[in-house]
Amino acid sequence: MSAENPYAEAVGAADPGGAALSVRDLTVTFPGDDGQVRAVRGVSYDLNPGEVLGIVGESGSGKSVASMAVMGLLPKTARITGSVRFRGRELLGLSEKEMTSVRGNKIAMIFQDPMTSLNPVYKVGWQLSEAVLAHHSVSKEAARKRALELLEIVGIPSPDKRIDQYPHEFSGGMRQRVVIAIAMANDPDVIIADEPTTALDVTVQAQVLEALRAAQRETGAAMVLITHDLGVVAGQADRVLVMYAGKPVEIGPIDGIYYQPRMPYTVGLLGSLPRLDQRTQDKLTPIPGTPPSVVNLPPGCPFAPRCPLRTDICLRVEPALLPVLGAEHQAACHHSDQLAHESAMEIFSTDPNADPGQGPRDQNHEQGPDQNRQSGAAQ
Amino acid sequence: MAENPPGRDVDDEPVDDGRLWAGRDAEFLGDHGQQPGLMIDAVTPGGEDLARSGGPGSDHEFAVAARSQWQLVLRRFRQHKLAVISLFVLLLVVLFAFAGPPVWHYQPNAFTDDFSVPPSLKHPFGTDSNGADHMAQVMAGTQLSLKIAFFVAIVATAFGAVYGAVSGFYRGIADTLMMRLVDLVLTIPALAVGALLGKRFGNNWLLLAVVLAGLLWTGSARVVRGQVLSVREKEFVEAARALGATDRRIIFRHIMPNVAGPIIVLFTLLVAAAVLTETALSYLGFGVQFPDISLGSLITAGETAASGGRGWLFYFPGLFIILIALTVNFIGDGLRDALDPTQTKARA
Repeated sequence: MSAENPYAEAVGAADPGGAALSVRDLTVTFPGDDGQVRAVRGVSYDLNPGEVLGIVGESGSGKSVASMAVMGLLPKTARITGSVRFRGRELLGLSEKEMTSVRGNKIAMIFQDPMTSLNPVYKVGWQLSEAVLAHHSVSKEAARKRALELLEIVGIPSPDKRIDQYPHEFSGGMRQRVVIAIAMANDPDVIIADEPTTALDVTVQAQVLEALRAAQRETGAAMVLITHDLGVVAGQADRVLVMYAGKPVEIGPIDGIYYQPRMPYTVGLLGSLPRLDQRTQDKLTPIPGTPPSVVNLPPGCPFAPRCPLRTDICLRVEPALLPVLGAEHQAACHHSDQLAHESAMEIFSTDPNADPGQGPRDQNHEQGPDQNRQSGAAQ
Repeated sequence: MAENPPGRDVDDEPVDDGRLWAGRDAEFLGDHGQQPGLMIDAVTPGGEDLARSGGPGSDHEFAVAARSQWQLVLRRFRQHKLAVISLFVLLLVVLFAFAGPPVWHYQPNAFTDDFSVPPSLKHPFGTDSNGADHMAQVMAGTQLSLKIAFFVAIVATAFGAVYGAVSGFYRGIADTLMMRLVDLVLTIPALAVGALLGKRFGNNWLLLAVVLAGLLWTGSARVVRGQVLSVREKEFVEAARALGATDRRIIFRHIMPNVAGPIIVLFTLLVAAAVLTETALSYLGFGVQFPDISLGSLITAGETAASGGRGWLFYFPGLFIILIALTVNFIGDGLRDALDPTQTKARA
């Protein structure tokens, strides 16, 4: 947070060592036709000032819903419990009006698709000024000056011309940089980036990530980076939270997660990535099966039906998130000790004939044939 | 060129020497000798530009002539010949109605010694049996009819748009209740109510306009609601909320401008509808009454005259009604095409 920046508000020195964002036992439930959809089933994490936390998981693992809950942007039908504290202040249960003063000002959000997250009828400069004016009563000229400055920071070439153009005159990567500029307009303490590179070409991802880094450098904000791209997380995040079926299954420092994963799902995720430092003849190791439906989850570990290490206890008791390698690195697996020295290849190829889709307590009967095909293709 | 170092990615601003930017204010590349009717949308290959500038300007692949949304709209509107002609004719009618009376040397309700004279140089539209100049009457009638029509169109469109936007934005029970009210209003026969209230309150064109607006807003409410239902799901609305925008700000500043196209078209259609409804009411004797003159009241007065061989008293106000309704509809048609971004085909 640069001292000379007038948009940086003096942040309470109340708890300097405290977390910028502290989420505890967050659950989100939607009413559905077939019963309660438990999209998020207890997420807890602390986001320290200036830190980047990567949240990874498959589609439907609840990573986006969890952060929308933090922003208070979920539809009214969603039932949210738990606690979300921003610098010690509880956000859940705040009135819409109080929440409005937090959104964009203290916590900003970057959305997935820059093609639709900018208003097509307004010039880019207007939209940036709008962001500034929403929380600061400054003159239009000052807001525009700030907008120019922001475009400069995120690396838009000739911002003085670009500021008077419409979003359709920008490419996807440039638009996402504008979205990032809008997010940092009010110097937030927390930026939540919801799959900021997913909708973009791989070639412009690097530029956008660089803009994200610039935004973070400039604002000193902590960042929650939601993505399913482990490569993006590896380059950006300090810590990683892996989610599966609405629950964190592993959390820890980036090196710990990448080099010593202690949850079979994480191992599988990493094993399904091509690596430059391995022999190229090796086939990638897929995780067989599909994620479970979060409607009426069976008891036990939700990953058990797809897990090669599953035993009886996995199907009965859902493992808690417990420290594995120091207090920082936690994993939710009954067999995390076993994973210390095994690679994804070894784990997921132990029994080529095992059919994970037909576990003894498997609930997804209709998916059986599909899973057969997938595990067949895996060998 | 100095501010555009080479070797930047294609993302970057196309290099230009100021010509293109100056061209934004110029007449749509018209200065490049382009055929005005040629349809060129957002992207114009910079061929002609390069051909002219040449030299240092040719180190880029293509230039994009940046054009604002409204320039594109205006450009597409100009493709629609009928709409352009209609706009011209309507402007003439407006000029006739508002600039005419101060200039014309007869008053609409002043009598001359020429009784029931057919159109001549002295009285271009003829006179009625009292000797009043009919052109002065048509001017006054057109003026009042236009005033009522635009008042009704502005009020009804504005109210309907806000009503529909709020209904569509909040959805749920509020939406259901608000739309049922629209259904209810739609069942009210405009002519009957207009007649009743017109008779009751008599000679007050503003009141008549308010009543008409109160009956004609439902169409825009329905259309705008439908549009808002789709726009509110766009991510930029979510983004605006994530930015800390209030509901009111989201509705009026972020959503409404996105439905401006349909609203403008609805406005023109309402102008035509209002002219016709007012005319019908006045014709039936319930709208504008003497000494005020509207096109409808002129037609009523001229009806018997027409069968008596003095057709000019009927046909001139009739002509103006047709002119207003027709031109406004064509303009609406042209605007609809111009404002629809998916519209690509050039119009004859």
